[in-house]
Amino acid sequence: MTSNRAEIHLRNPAGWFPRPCTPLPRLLLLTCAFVLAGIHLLTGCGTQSQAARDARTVATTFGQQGLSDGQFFYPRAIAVTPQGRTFIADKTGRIQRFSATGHVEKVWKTPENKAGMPVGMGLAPDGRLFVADTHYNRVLVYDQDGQLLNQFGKPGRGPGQFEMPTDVAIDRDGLIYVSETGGNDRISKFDAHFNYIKSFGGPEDGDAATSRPVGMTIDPDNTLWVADAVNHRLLHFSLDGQLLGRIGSIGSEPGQFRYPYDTALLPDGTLVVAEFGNSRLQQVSRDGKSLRTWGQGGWQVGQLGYPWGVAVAKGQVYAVDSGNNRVQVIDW
Amino acid sequence: MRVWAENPEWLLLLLAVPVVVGLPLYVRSLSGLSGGRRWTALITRSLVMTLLILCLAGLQWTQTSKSVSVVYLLDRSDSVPENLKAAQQEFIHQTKKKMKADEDRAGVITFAGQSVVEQTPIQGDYIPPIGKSQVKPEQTNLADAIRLAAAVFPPDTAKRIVVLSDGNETTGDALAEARRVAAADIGIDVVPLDYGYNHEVQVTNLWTPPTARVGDEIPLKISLFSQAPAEGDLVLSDNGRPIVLDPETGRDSIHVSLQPGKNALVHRLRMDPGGADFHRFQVQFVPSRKLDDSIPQNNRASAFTVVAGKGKVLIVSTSDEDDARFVQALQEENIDVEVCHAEDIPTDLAQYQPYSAVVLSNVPADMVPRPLQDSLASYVKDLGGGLIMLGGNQAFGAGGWIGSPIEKIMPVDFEVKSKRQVPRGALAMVMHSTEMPQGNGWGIRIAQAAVDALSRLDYVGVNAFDSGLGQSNWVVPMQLAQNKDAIKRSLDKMSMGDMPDFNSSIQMAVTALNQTDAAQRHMIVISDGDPAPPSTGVIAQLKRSRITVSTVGIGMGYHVVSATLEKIAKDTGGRFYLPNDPNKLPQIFIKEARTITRALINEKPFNVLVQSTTGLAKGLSERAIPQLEGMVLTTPKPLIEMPLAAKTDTGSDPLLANWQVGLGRSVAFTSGMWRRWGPQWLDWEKFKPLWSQTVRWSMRKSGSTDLDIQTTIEEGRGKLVIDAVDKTAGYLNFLEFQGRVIDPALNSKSLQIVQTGPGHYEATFETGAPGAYIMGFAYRKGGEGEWQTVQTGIASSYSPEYAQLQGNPSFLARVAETGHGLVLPLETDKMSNVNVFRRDLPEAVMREPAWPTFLAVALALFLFDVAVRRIAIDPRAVAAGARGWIGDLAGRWRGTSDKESIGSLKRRREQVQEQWRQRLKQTAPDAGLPQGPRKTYEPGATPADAASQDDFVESLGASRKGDGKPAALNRDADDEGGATGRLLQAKRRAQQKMEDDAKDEG
Repeated sequence: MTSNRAEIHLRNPAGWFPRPCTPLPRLLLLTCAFVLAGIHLLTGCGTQSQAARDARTVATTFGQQGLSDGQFFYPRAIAVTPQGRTFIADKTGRIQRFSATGHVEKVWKTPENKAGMPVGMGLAPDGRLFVADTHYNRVLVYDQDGQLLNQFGKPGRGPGQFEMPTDVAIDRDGLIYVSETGGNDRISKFDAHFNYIKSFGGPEDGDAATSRPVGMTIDPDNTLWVADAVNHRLLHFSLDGQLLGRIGSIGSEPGQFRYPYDTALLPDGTLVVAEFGNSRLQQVSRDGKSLRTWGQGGWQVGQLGYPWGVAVAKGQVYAVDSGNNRVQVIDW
Repeated sequence: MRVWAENPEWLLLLLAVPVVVGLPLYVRSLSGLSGGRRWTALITRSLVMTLLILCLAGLQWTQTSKSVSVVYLLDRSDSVPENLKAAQQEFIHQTKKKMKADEDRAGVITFAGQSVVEQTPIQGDYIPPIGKSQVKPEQTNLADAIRLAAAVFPPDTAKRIVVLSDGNETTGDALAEARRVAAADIGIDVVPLDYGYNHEVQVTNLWTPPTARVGDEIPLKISLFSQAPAEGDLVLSDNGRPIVLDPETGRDSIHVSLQPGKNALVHRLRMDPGGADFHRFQVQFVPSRKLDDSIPQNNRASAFTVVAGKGKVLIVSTSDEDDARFVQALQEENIDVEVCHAEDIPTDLAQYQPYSAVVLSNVPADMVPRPLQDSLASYVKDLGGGLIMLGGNQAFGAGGWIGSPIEKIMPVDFEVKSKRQVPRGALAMVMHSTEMPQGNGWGIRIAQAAVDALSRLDYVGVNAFDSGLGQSNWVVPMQLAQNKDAIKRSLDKMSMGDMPDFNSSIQMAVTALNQTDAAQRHMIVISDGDPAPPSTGVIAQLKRSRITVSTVGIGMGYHVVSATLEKIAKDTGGRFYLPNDPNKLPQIFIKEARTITRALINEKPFNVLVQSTTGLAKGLSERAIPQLEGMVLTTPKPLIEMPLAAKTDTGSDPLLANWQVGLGRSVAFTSGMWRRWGPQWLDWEKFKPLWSQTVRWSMRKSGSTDLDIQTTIEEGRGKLVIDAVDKTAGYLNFLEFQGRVIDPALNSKSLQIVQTGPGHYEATFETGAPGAYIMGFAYRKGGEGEWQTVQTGIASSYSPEYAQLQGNPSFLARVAETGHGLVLPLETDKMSNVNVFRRDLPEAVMREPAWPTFLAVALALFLFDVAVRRIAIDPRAVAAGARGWIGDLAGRWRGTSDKESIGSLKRRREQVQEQWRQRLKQTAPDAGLPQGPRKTYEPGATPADAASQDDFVESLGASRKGDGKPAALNRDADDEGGATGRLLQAKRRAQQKMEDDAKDEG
């Protein structure tokens, strides 16, 4: 009895599947390949894997957008003790102290911030915190509890005067180095009693010309690295101001920088650089070879929004993720 | 998470599901299905129906939350004393201590005449600093604040508004707003701010007669109110100039001693000939001791008087030498003229009332602030005044007037629309953010103002630093300023990042400017000067390309590195600005944009054509008119009079144009600047008659003394009463009126003047804000004759805000009652029980519709239902088929070729044949064995081949075709006799087998 219904009998699939089989497996293989290629193109598996890798190396993040304690509004300056205690200054003029586990411990404000906020800080070996009070042309010296101990500096272009100081570094003898922009664009050296010693760099200094030096770090071998932002390079100076070397040029390829705003030294003697323009961190050897890049523009963990600062402590890298109002701590 | 149905009545349909689903049991669609399939189909169909019914019932997932959001409304109007304003912040600080962290939120709105959100509701203990915000402190609009608060609440919390106010509202209806808001489950608590004054003096009224005649002595009646005895001085002024009150000593103030209660004074003033035709009188009380008066804002009052007179003309000049001859010509023709410099231009509409016409002689737009431009337009349209624009190199389009309110009332457009060869300009704007808050908003406003001032023939481009990209890019790529609306919309999205250096942005702009075909190239940089200065190479590039760069330093109290910006401007020949008031910024940009629109100036000598001899050019003959040597290009509007035109190669351009606009008249003369552009005109004999004719034509025709006008303000409404009597004391009836009233905010509305009695006409209008209400109307007798214009005005002297001597707690109590809230104390020591975060509000419920999910599942199930009924799958057969298919693939992959597989088949066949031979030997031959694989091996005998291959195929599970032979192997079945008979039997057996199978399954 045959049925007059529309029914497809699947009792004999071989009659149903094309018997010679030639087109079908190829067809299926082609389809799979096509689909996989599409997925790859559409989701950017390549970059995704980079972002995923970077995200996996993040040990912790702290901070979020906001005005309460523990929250940031455009954080820019960072200083970290070797034990991991972190100080962050943001665009509300607050300096916040975080424990090594990322909990906010103390919050205080710079005395005046109507004209603008500090963009750089440095820790002295004896624990004092030196804040470059950028728009007030001076350096404030605090203890780690927020007590103002000292301040020095007056506005001007002359020796020992400041025009928008951007960062402070202190060497192991207590000598103080202050970088400036706003026309002076130089590094000035002071003794432990805040007396002016000398200046180097500056827009006219030939090979050592600095344009907007925004970040500095003291090398354990007693030399100074300067992030020369608008010249898109790092400069290496002796503590006396002699130029020892330059690395980097403008660009986004490995080995190139775009507006490097800060630098710090890793335990193995290589440098990690925070690039404001490329929204990434880059690890370079002391002779300029690029070893690793970390991060790309974005808001997820593992991505950065135009970072202003970077510091190293306990083998971890602390990145000031300015555009995302947080700090990411990375197991490098 | 719970479930809630919006239309639960649909759920009744669920009862129908079994019926609807069960019915087809007896219908063909389900019959014939095997047991398993039938049940699957039934269940699926029921599920689909159930899901659809649930969708119709509007099922929603709901979530409730217990958190509370509170918005504090702080009254910052001038009626609230300063000490109570500080107490408001303390109240917020104390009550926020009872917030539940991680759940509750608090926000702050300050209000007076306007409302401003200081902080949207957020968690945490942050309290924004309450400073001076622009909330118009001379009014109190509580209704607006309540409305704004209702809009900023987050959706997933319970909501409460806490009002800290004195309860003296001057505009808006707070009770109505409270009712509306209470219906939305928002609670309202109030904290009354109460106070009282003991020493206060107010000027309650100044009265002067609305109309007077030359030579009359008019009374100025002054009323004052004082709470306690007080001493002070009264000062009277007329059109801004102090009136001498004591003729003997020449002093312009008189000393008064006030009694508690009402006090009244009268001063008499004579209307001398040669005076203005419109007087604004003002009286001010200055207390001898400050302590006697608590609120100084209510010590003033004003009133208006119109005197029938001759009429004066105001000339606003930018160059004494250029205008000297012009002024002299008018004076010789007996026209009263007053000259003022453009820097001192009067800014108040009422100050223009004494003049019948205003002449702007080569005045650029950046010297006339925008509100004054609106006033002048009103002066012409609504009050019948006359406006004449004389040209020069900073007038019309070249003066930044494109798109201004003045352009709208002029008889010509300041743009040049035709496609003529006019050298173009190009403007690039480089924008950098600053540390200043709202810096981004200001940047957008400024850029939009500059775009407005450009001509459509010019190029414009705007670039800014993009933080995300790490470099500058074009917000508005360099393009013609044709579609200004689209360009301004792109600017709305601009977000200026933190530019580290100027080099890249300036270089980008230079490249773009050089790529245009513009003759004038200009750049404006707006920044706080922080970025690193441009290199000498880039400066050299700018100089080579002849691009001038103007720089604007924006700080507003924040740090500006002006040295960098100054140097850039100096090196390239531009200008440097450092404004301290952000409101000046748009004017700076308009002035800079003028650098570009210089292209609209035509500085070649030309002849003058007379287009019409019946208008202003009456009596002029073309041949006798001397040449002019420069003019600004404009485009005539339709329906204007254009008595004189300039002769060009392509035709003619407007030179003298005029028209009637609203109640007034305007004239445009596109040349001017006589010393440079028209030296021959200065000596021309017809210069005087032409200009006196033109100016007289444009002057306002002042109303006569036929009308007796009274104006009053009562309870928020102004009233105008006109009694029209002719010289023989007969009533003037059926006069035709056209009127307008301008409020203090310069909004003009039409005034309906209706006759309500013999010779008696009335009109009313709304008065809200304090200030001068100026009325202008035109009338004529019986639809013919010339329109006469009359102006008058009335002043509502100060906002009721300043008349409040105490708070209004009972009003606030009513507001709290409407909002089902409490009246709370302000004092800290009474606040132990106060909790604005108490949970007595209806809980917030969040609902999310569930129907999309249900619908998607129902759709999938529906397809499954169809599949179940239409596709029959035999699992065993599928498995077997899959096995075979995989086997084929496996065979493929082992790399066997066709030939080899046939070879292996043959080997297999031989094996099988061998087996069967063995078996046959054991049984009797021809014993009627089931034919199946019957074997007689003959070499090359294909039937046997066919059969064995047949079996081989069957062993793989393939079906037999109707005649029991695989079709492909049929070719070799050419045999005779016994083979045929065996084949036929085989065929019969196969058919039988098929029928049996069919019976099983059917």
